[in-house]
Amino acid sequence: MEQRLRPKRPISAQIHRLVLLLLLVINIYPLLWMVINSLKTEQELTMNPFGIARQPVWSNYIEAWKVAKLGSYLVNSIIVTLSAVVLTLLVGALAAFFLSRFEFKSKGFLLVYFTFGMLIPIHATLVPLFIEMRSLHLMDNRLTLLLPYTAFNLPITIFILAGFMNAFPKEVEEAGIMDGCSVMGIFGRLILPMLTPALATAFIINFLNNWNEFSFALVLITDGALKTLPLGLANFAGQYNRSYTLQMAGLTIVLVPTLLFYLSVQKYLTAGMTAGAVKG
Amino acid sequence: MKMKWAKTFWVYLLVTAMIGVLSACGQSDNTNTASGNTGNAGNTEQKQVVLSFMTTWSESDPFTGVYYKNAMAFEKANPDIKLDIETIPYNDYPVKLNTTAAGGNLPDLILMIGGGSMFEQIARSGALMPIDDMMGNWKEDFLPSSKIKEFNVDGKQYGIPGEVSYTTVIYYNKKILKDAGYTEFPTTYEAFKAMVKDLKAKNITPISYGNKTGSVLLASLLSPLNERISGPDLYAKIKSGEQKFTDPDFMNALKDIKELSDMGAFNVDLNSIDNVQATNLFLSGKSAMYIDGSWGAKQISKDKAADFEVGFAVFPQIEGGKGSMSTMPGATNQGVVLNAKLDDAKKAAAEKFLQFMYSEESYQNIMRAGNMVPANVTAPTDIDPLFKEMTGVLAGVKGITPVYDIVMPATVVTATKNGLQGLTTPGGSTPEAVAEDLQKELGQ
Amino acid sequence: MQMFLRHKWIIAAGLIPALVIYTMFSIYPILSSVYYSFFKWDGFSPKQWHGLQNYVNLIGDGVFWQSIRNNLYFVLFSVLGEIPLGLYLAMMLNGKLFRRDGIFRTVFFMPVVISTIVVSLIWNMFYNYQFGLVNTALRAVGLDHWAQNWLGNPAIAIFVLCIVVVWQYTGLYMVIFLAALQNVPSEVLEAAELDGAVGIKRTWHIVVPIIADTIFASVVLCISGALRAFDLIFIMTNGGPSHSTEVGATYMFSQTFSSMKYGYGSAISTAIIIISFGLIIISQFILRTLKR
Repeated sequence: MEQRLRPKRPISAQIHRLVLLLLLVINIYPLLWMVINSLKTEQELTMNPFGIARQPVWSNYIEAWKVAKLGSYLVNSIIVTLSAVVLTLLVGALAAFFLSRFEFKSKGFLLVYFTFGMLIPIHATLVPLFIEMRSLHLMDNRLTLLLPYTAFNLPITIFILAGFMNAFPKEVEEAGIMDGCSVMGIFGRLILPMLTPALATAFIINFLNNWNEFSFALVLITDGALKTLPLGLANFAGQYNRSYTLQMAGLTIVLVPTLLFYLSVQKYLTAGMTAGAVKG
Repeated sequence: MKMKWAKTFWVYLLVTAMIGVLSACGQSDNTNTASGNTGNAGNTEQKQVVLSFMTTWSESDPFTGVYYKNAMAFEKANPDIKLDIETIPYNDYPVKLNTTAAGGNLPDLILMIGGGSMFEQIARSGALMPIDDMMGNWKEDFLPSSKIKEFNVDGKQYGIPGEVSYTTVIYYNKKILKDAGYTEFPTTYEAFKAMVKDLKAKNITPISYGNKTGSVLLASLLSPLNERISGPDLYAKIKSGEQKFTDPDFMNALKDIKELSDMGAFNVDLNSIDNVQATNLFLSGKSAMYIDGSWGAKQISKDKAADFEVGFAVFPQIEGGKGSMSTMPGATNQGVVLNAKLDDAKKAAAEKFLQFMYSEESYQNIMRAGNMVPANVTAPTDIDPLFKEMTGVLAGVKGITPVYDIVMPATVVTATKNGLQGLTTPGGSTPEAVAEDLQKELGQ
Repeated sequence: MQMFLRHKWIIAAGLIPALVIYTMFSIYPILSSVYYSFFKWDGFSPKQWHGLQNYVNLIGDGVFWQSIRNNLYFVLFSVLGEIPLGLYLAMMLNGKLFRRDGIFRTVFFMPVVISTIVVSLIWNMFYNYQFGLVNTALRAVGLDHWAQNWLGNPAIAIFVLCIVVVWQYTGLYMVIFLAALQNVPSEVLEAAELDGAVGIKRTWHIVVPIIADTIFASVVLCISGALRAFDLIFIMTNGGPSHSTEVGATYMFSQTFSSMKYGYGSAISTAIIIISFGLIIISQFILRTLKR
């Protein structure tokens, strides 16, 4: 990191490559380890946690699928997660647009107001939220988790989107006005397309938060037909027993849709304005 | 630009459609539940009573599976009663129970995993229905009142336990002890300590504990030490103020724990692993003894190698102490309690349920699954041999003393768990500091 | 822009959906919790007015301050570990050198994608005293005396957890920065790369100001995340041994749901909010000063 400028030097590139490869291993090994161990017996895991399974116990997967009730919970999780993500992004992008691109009196206050949402320790809200949902008759249906998930993810969504929009040049709106666009026209036709990478980021964060959310689902849902994956995955630990290998098998199963989802979204992370519409 | 706009358009179409579908789902669900509540009676010719039931019982769990199966058998035998069971994972049960109770929305039937302050506080708040008028279903010689008192609050009975567990059983590796020169398990605490020292000198980890949650040392070391030193009523005396945590009786137990820890009696990572991992240490020959409740036998029996010989022992006698080896700390578990708001039809159904769940046959099933029961029933012949062997060793135990975490207020229990972890951590707390802390917590 | 200012209702219409959902299902519950913090309540019995007593007790509660100290370690490791590392990775992956190697982007984000249960489970096994990877490796190279009870040693357990947190969340910031870098016109990046090769410093000077707002937002995210940290600690150490890895949220949880001191638990969570808000203000002040 010296001050002087140098011509392109392959050595530094090699160092970076080495660092990245090292990080690659550190990041991927734990997952491989989990998959390998999901095929062991419980004792083999304790005795030999870093070897290859002597004889793969494929039945762990069948058992895990049953114990965690993955069949029905998977569907519920997908419905709840995606609907909450979509609602959050829609509502959040709109709010972020006005908070980022407009000047008005209460703007500063609203930004602070939304910041608070990121500071709330969610376990403190379990009992009040439970009472609230009950008095609103919102317990035990598809909307039950949608609303709190949206509410708790809005702040971070708005911050990511607004932070991203802040960097857009003023010319965007000016161009829009010249073309005679309405406010919503500017939002829909100019801002949104430029927002793709940030939307993808927010999408991923929202998805993961909702997908893995446990406490609200535990407390607000009693109907077995509406429960979500994290509740099922908690079934591997009882009062006196715990099955690590089954748990890893279950977690591996659940990892597959998550990874597929990420792989399908990640290309939008870098599909940005550099590609097209407006040049600053 | 054009392409992008088209893409955005499609995304929006999708979003709108999803919101439409979603709100439709929400509505139809609402009507479904509404009709489910009122309409069920009309649908079936016979009036069916639906009892909602919150529990940790799960078909796939080796410990609670038997209760789940008993409940299923009940449903089969009583077609006019339907159980609407919600199974909550054990570790998350307190949160769910707390929240639903605090929100005033308890189901019809609620599982109380054990007695203790959470149960007592819910009972005292008036949310539960006393079942004294149903107790005629159980004769004293079948179900002695001394065995069900943990589900009794202020003279009112709220539930009946399904099983009894001794919280301290010493499981030992016969081969390791024999190789070290011990064919008999010591019966005095001094001899026990000498053996621990000896094992340690031979580079064997004497005892493995899995105290990550903090509850194991409480139930399986502090409780027996308290009993052996002070006899059965120390906790009552401390609660009434007659004795203090800082008095010699309780202090000596803490000092004993510290002494054991300092001499290296435990696995180094006792506070970072759970009981399953600790059992595996023991079963893999990494420790000579494993101490846990009588429930520990189940995993040992299931996971041990064929040639692994396990012995069972009762916590030894302390010379000059007021306790004796014929008494053990123990707890009663798995009692179903009733919501105070049940109407007569539901109450009648609930009574049938309790009768069934705590009948001789159900208790025999519970024994078959490897548990001791509070009722006097003839043991079935087809029980696990290892479990049978253990109950044989424990046969000399006549009296049960209550376990610390059932008797003490929840705040003190939490503080004690942390205190014991501190005592058994190098550079952790001193017995004096722990005792003072507890006394302060009790005073609040 | 002035022409829109006349249409205040448009701004209102755009903000109201977010405000309503957020206020009803996030702010209202936490305000209720703040209200409970003035009571002595076990969750079941009638509430007793307790005034500020819960807060007075909190100030004298050593465990609470220890948990906050642990939270601050988390903040430090997050802000100084995750953000720089995330930015480095984002710049590398956005640069010419690795742009086409999609595998990096996928793998570096993996720890974020997997749930905290998985992370806790895996790292617990790595740190296991008897059989864990770390100790096995140390023993294999003859460093037996370095082998540790990593999660059970109060002196180091919290830092051991910090490493896991950095491992888990660096990928998140990488993705956030990667997205933000798309705002930087490619000519600027190319120019920077041309004369500085992959020299980070040069790129840094050009790029950081452009994505400054995203960095600010990330710091806020880091602080709020670190102060609310719960799952990882809850599963890996349960706050133990003896409170040594306790953080605000786990302490609040155990006071509320194990000790059944509902009012006191609410007071802890209120304190967490106040402290994190204070930290965010301080951090933004520092960052803005640095920017200038």
